[in-house]
Amino acid sequence: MKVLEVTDLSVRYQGAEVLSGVTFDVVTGDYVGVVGPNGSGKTTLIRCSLGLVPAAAGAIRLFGVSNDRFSDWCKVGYAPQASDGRHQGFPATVAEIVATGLLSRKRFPKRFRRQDSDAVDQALELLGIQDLKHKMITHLSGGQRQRVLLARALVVNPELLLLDEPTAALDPGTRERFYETLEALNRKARKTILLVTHDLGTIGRYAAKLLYLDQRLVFFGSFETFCRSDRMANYFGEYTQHLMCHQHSESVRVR
Amino acid sequence: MFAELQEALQYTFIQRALLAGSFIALNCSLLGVFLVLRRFSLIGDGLAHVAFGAIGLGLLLQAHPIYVAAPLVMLASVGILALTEKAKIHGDAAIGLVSALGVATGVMLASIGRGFNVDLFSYLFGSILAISAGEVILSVLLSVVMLVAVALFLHDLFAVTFEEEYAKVLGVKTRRVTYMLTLCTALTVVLGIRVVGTMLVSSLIIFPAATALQLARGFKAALVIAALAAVGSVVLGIFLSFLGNLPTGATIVYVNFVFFAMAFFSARVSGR
Repeated sequence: MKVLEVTDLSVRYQGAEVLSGVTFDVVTGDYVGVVGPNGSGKTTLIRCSLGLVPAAAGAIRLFGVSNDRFSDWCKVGYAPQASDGRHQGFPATVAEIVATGLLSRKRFPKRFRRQDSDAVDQALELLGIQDLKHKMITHLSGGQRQRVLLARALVVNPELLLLDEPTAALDPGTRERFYETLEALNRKARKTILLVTHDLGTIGRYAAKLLYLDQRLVFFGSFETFCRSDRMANYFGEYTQHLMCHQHSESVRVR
Repeated sequence: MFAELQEALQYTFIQRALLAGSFIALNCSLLGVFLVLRRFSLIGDGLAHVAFGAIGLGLLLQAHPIYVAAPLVMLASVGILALTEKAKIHGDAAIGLVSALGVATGVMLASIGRGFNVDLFSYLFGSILAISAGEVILSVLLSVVMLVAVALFLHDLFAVTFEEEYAKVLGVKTRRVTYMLTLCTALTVVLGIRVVGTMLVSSLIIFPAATALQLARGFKAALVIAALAAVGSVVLGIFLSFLGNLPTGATIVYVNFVFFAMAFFSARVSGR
């Protein structure tokens, strides 16, 4: 099933085109690494998919429904970039923040029940941050805050995960565990994942597909196709292509 | 002193002031937590200035000032939101524009109407001890309606306050929630004018929230602390002003300041 369909998408920001003519489909069970240089439109693509940024042209469909009419938000888990300072001084505990992720499946009047509290515990456990449950968000480090936002995205058990640089503030050990958690969610629970990252070297070890953006779609397809593509070898240079493909083939061997 | 307090409680005007004041303060404090965290708390001040103009109009038309002010101030609050959305003006500037218009209208009407200047200026600093039975009923009723609205939309309000964009992805109607919060604030400001006056009503919104933010270890805790600080300051303020023959509105603000200072220092001492 097509989970996300992006057709001829263009986005303009303050008069300048930040995305131009982007077309691709993501189907159930895909694990897509979204890669590209700074300012290439990765975050804009995610935000536009969620209807947070208007499209200048083109169409986006989530689970077959145009994103401006989409209402089944409990199928989507989104973790924005965890920028420092945004939540400074906000008097909320980790549990309170993670629980907001459940609002997408609540109807008026929205009330939290016992099973919601269990879901929060499970999400915290999945990210290994049960000990932070009653801590204030404002007292957490960047990496801890990032994991809280990821727990908030996962708490509703969504089918599609849109993660914007989720590992940027994580230390190597935590990053590795997080990637393993995502891999398990993708393989065992068939979750569809779109993960924005700068980490060209690592993403090939985990994602099955690569979406390379540079304001337009440079490449979208499997890592195998990417690795065999002469066009990509010309675009990236053989060294970068080899680096990404080496990581991917290593991981395939391990699996 | 205890006997004097007992005596104070016998007076109908003190009972009315305590009842209406507590409900209004409760509303102000709960809305205040959301407004302060959204960095939109000066909307209380701006709307109070609009209320000054609207009360002037009420006096000129010889209608009950609060009845004229309530719809006009609610309209102004929508105007502030529309300015921030449509004219690409930040909240503080939009509040500044609307508030200046409000005061200018009040001054203009006072000049046209002559004669009612004294009445208009009595609204500057409030007169909770002069509140009528009808006003008490209206204040309590509207306060209860708004408290129910906040309770029903509590989680949505929290989500929008914490991260408006993320709230949209949760399917929360963020625009609707923001308008609800702003309209409730407008109505609360109009009611709050009776307690502390147009000049001081924003203190009822900002002080309890600021006090709570010093101490709270979670969002629900912040709401509870703000509510306690607000109701406590009104009750204590009314008694102290009665005992010391002091202006009630100003006394309530001073009690709020003392609560804030206590919270500030106790937070520093406990290392929060």
